[in-house]
Amino acid sequence: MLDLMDWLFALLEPISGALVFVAMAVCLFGLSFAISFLIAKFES
Amino acid sequence: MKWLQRLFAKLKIVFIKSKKFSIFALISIGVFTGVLGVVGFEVGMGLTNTEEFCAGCHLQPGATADTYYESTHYKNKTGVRPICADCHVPVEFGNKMWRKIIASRELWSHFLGNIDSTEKYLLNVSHMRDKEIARMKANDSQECRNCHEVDKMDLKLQTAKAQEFHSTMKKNNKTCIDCHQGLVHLSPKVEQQLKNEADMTTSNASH
Repeated sequence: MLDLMDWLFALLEPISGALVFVAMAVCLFGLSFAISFLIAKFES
Repeated sequence: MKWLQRLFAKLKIVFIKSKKFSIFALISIGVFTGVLGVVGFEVGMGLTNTEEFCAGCHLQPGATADTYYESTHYKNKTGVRPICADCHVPVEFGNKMWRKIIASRELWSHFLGNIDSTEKYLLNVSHMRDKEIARMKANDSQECRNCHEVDKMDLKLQTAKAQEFHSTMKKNNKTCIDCHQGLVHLSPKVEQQLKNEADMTTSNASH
């Protein structure tokens, strides 16, 4: 498992900047989605 | 696939226009949640950069964190004390986040108990050290250079040997960590000595 993670991280290293950007975007959209869901639940 | 359709049907409600809440209320909720998120994120980053957090795994007798407390980076005449994160976590946001993502592998290793005793630690320390040295070489020892800029050094105040190395390091394509390994943690030589001692203890105990 650890070797697999080492291999994966080494493979992704050249696009780490893009990955971090995508991860942040996914987190922000996820947060927006969660808040929207809670508000929508209040509405119904 | 029916459960997926049901899930999508449930989640659809987030796209319905609000009837109860004003635009002001919705924006306020967004702004407050955003601020709370930023503060929580910064607090989380800060907590995972503390000495206590790092020492939670890396404090073994005679090993990494232990050597830090004996080094000149911990106690020196100037009172400047860089902590673990200053040398091992990049400052720039993207690189810092990537380092934190990679740390998920280290967390996994911690939960597997790979370094939970001095013996196990010494078995893995060369692997950890090699990886960290490779990382520092790849970024031209950025974390060293955050505090120590060769261009701004008064070479005349240094020893003749240091003057020679520092003035030619660019030309020789060298970076800080090429020469300064073992400055804070175990040098490979001392590490080998400790390993030998541990092996001897283990073999004596088994006889």
